[in-house]
Amino acid sequence: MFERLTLHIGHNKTGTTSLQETLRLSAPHLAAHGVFYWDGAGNHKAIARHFGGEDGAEGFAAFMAAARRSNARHALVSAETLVRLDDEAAARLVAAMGEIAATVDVLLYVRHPVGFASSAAQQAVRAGVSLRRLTANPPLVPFAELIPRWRRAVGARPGTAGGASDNVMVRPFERAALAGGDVVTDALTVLGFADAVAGLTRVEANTGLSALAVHLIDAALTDRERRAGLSQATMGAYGGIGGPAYVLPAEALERVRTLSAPHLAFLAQQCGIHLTEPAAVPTPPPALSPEELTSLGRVLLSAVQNQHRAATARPAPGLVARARRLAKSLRARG
Amino acid sequence: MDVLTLHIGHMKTGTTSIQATFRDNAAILAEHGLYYYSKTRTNHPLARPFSKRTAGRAETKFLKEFRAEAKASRLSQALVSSETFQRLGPEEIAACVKAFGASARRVQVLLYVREPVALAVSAAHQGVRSGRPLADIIAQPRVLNLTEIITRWRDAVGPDNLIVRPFDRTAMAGGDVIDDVLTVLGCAQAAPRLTRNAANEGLSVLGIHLLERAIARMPDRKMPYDQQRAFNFIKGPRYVLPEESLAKVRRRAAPHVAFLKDEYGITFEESPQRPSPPPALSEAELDSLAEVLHEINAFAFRLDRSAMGRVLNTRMPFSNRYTEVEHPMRAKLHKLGLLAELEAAVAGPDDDAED
Repeated sequence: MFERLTLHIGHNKTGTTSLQETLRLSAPHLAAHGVFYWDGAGNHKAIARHFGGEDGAEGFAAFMAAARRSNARHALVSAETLVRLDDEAAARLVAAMGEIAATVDVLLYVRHPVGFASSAAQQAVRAGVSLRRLTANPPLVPFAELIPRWRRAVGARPGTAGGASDNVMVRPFERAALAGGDVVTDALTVLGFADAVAGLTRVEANTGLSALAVHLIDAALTDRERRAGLSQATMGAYGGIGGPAYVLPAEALERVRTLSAPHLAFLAQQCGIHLTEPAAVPTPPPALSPEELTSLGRVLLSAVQNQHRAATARPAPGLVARARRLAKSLRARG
Repeated sequence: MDVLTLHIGHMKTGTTSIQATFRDNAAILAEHGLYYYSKTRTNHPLARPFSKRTAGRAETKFLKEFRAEAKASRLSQALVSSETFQRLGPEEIAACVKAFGASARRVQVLLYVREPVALAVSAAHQGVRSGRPLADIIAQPRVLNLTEIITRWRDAVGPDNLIVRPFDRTAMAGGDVIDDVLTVLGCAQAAPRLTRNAANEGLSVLGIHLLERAIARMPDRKMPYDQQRAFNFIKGPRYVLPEESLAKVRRRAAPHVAFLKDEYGITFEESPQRPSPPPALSEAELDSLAEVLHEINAFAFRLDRSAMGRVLNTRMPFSNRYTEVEHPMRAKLHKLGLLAELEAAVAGPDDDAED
């Protein structure tokens, strides 16, 4: 049984992929420092899916089995998709984790909504959401709903909001405020394992997309492709396209400011966190005609998809076994 | 054989389309009395043995095969098409005419001439494809010495056996160079039966700048054409040389334009092409885009030609690869009932490639 289990719930666009990849690759190193991080899957999203009523039971069972075998003092679960759980699902998750840990707490990094919106928009375009829709409805994290939900799930201690003794630890995702200037160092420091920072296998992941890359994806996707979205693995190519990082148009940023005001006020009042708005200058659309943008986008997308197919092609289930049987029977026949 | 026609170009007058179409339709042309050698992708191997620069390739076996086939065909005329002829010097031309003269009672020469500005612009596209930096092309745009080319061939075959035609839609039979060639050769009735093979597409401003940067990443600045094809599909305004370059072309081509008018009554409408503005992307954006496109294309090009790619018949987007011999493993996998499923694992949706 762990003394403590921390649920790192994100939110997205706060260095979660880098943190998760670093922790996964450093799992043996962390174990030596008394921290259990499940490295049996690429990430911990199966746990969120399981409690969110989707598939993921198998992944959750594998996690629990590995957790029960661990003799570490502290366990860390990290999945930004946990922010999507509702009250009831969050409560069930915390109860389940209570079976393997004496205390369950939550770690949440919060990013200024203006910086978050453009960064999340880059991700959303890849997932198939159109720029037009993102401009009208920019992404927003409702801190004033999210934080109380998790406080209800893990139990808050009144009067200690935002501090280390609160079961929901809220940290600003701002370089100046992060221990060591990065989220990996900060997370381990907050959890009391600063001595584990040295020796980590660091991974930098999920860097942003340039304005040109975002517009090329948006211009190229057909309706069918939008529904499926692009695989994260295809992002390597788009990440190589230079130019200024994509920032939402001014009207979208203004909408973000308006909609996020109560949530920023909540953070200030309840967690003592005053996020600084980043100097985000809206990027103009590329100076290409629609014909140029769409045709270039299609050429690039076709090439990227072709490469992705070739790199990830797997024979149909059973085909390899059939081929082996055939080869065996051919050998038997001489 | 009564007449053998040497179609000598010049470059950028639809030669690739003519050659690909005639190669693919050699049987139909034969039904109309015209022999066309189609054993090789182009007729260049029939022209190269006459050039000192390329004679070392030892391609005379193709010439021998051509002679034997032409004779065996018992057709009244033959056509050999290669813009390589355009580069031959007087002695080389004499040897060439003599050699082809052994197969026919008369050798005639067919040359299409194009308005110099349009030619220089089209040649700039070709130059970039060949790995020439755009800056060099702009400084030294292509101007053909038409006076010299025509005079040399006229001296070799005689004025009556040199046909000079304007590469001008309004002047060509059917507005098309293939129809025009067939009409000149008296085989116009074959034209409707041919399956046309359009080739050598032009490049947009954006396409040419990206291709130039991509080719710069290739060893010796050489990129196979199939690897270049994706860049043809980047649309937008067609690339046209800058004004200073066009002015240079007009100045240097003036005596040749006058020669064509005086000797053959050929006049050209001034080209309506206007210099295209540079692409409206930063150097960093262009460079990175070119790198991404190049890396992905190079991967796909190598994959298609690898043993695995040939077994599974992978085909990079926009590829127009010339048919080649099937990998022997395909037949074996097909026999075992495994090929279709393996192919399906790497097959994707149809791309935007246009034939």
